[in-house]
Amino acid sequence: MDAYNTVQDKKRGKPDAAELALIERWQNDDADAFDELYTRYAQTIYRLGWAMLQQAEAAEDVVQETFLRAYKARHQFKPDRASLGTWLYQIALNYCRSHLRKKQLLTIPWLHSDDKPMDPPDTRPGPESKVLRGEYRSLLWNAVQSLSPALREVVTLHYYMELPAVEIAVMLNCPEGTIYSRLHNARRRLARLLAEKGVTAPDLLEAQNVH
Amino acid sequence: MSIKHVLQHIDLYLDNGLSIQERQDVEQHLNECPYCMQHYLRAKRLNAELKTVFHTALGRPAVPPHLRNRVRMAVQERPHYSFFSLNQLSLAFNRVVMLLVMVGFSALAYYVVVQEQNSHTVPLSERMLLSPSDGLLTPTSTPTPQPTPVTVTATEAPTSVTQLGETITLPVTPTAMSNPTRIVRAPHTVTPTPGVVIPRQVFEPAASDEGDSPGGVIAFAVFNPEPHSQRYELHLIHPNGEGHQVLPFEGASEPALRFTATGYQLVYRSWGEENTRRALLRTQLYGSTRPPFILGEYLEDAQPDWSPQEDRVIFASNRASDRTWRLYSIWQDGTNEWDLRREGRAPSFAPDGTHFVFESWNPAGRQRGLWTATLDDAHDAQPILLDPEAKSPDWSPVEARIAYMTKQGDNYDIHLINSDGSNDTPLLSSPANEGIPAWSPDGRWLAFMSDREGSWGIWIAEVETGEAELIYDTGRTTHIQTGNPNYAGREWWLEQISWTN
Repeated sequence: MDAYNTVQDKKRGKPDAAELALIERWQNDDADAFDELYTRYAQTIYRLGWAMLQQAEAAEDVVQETFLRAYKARHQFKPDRASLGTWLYQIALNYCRSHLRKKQLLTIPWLHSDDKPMDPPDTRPGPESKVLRGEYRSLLWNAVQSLSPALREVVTLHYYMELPAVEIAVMLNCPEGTIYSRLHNARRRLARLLAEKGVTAPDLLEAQNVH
Repeated sequence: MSIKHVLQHIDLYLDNGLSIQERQDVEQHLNECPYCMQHYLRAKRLNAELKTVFHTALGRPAVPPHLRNRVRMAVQERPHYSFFSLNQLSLAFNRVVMLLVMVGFSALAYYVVVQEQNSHTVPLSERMLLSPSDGLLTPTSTPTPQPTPVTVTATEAPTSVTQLGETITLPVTPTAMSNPTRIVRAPHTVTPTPGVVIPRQVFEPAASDEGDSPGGVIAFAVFNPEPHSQRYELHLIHPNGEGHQVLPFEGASEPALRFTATGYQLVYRSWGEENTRRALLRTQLYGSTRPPFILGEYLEDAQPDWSPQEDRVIFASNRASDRTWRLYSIWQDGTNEWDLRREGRAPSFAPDGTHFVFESWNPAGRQRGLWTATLDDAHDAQPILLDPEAKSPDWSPVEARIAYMTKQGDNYDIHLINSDGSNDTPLLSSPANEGIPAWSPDGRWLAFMSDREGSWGIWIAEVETGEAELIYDTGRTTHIQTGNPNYAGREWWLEQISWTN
């Protein structure tokens, strides 16, 4: 069990000495500390915003607001609870959630069928306009988009951001078990949505070969 | 281990949610049971597909390089200075003052008590610093000279207004109303610099003030739908239609312009175009080369209005996570931001600088309309008009009257209403839209936006007669902003016009 706990601690990403020093410099308003933080985390935060909101401008706003809100609350950051990255992603995620809630007020859900993206038509090339290989994958993508916000959030964090469930749990401030059950529910729902569309389960033989 | 047991654990196994011992158990079972193995392979395949689908659909976009600068500005050029924030400073200052007051009081009390015990000859009131009859005069001091009147002829005639049973007094200086000549100002000394230099033609008092033509400067924002622009532009114009200029701020709207002791101060909403900060900014027009100053830090901060004393700005923002519009107040130097704890939009100050009118609703989200409140007690607001379509109120700078827009049929008209809710009368109504009214500094004119002649433009109207005149024509028949997602969902009445001396 000790080994397990060490692994869990590592997954939670308790900050090491170098990061602790950086955090301290940042909390003391060292100008260089911001640049270093930005270099470390901006890319991930940007992708998080992009994945959640699927608009380039909105993703830029996520980065700005995350660093601003983090700066304002920098003295509330507790290194013993989570890593700085997790804390920043948490702030970014909260911003994305409120942004989505705001957008929901603007769009009328029942006007959108399952096959269409929730976003208003966008002239710039968005995620949907790229060609996905195979019908199965495009249907799977549509199914992911039609998941409930809570499930889609967890699926995005796990499969796109490739975050372990432990870290997602810290970000969402809920028990680890909740994340596992949400992932489980999401996969079940995806399988059902695909079955409703008449898509057969992926080729097992191919999968077996992979295995 | 039963079959069902392992099926439940397959997802946990894939997600790394099992302890080492449990993992081994599952692996052992999978090797023995083809049924579970099949399920495991299917789940594993779905996992792999999901990962691929996400990465194919979303790609791996890189952060735009310009973003670093924008974010650095957001974080570092804050109104609260580094090392020792002004907030902390004022907090510390408050504490010191409190301590001094307490020490002073105890010393006074000690003094009074001791003196009381020592001698009973002098009445208490004469030894107290504050004599009950004379206010601040001590019995021994020479009478302080009466304060000389600062204003020239401002005969103090406070207008008292009955507002929902209680009487409030608004200090009104009737000079502005009765005397149409404007205050003559010394010309500004402008040192042109290679930075943002704005031509000054608006400042020269354009037409002479003979007759009834209104003076001052009007600021407004118009969306430029040209493909190369696709953003808001801030315009200045003299009310006689002369001196029109576009300010060189990209993506700037919702202006609030004031002439203060230090020159023309403009607060506007910046939309973050061209690497500018997306926030509520304040800048001095003409003669200053400083970059705009961040007043409201959040990108949701909007609809600013100056207090008549020019010491603070009130604005609306839906920055909180519940996305409700609330009112905030901040000093013009960017310190002491203050959540007024009141839901609402489009606030506008009364001449007294304490009362204000705004669009609002009760805590249950009903009773939408115009409400008034005071800065000290904003949550104790009172409705003056229940009309869900009433928008964009502007409180007259000289009296207890409010101009607002409301929908009659399918278009907006401008109405006037007293600040106690009485005498609600339409002022400008036509088959076209009239909206976002702004009073002239003397309270005799209104600037507004309208599409009366087909295309949208800025108009002014004399309040007494209702005669309107077009002063700037945008030449565009639509206000829909579809090209730039920054402005998605914006309506024309979310803009505002500002008219100052």
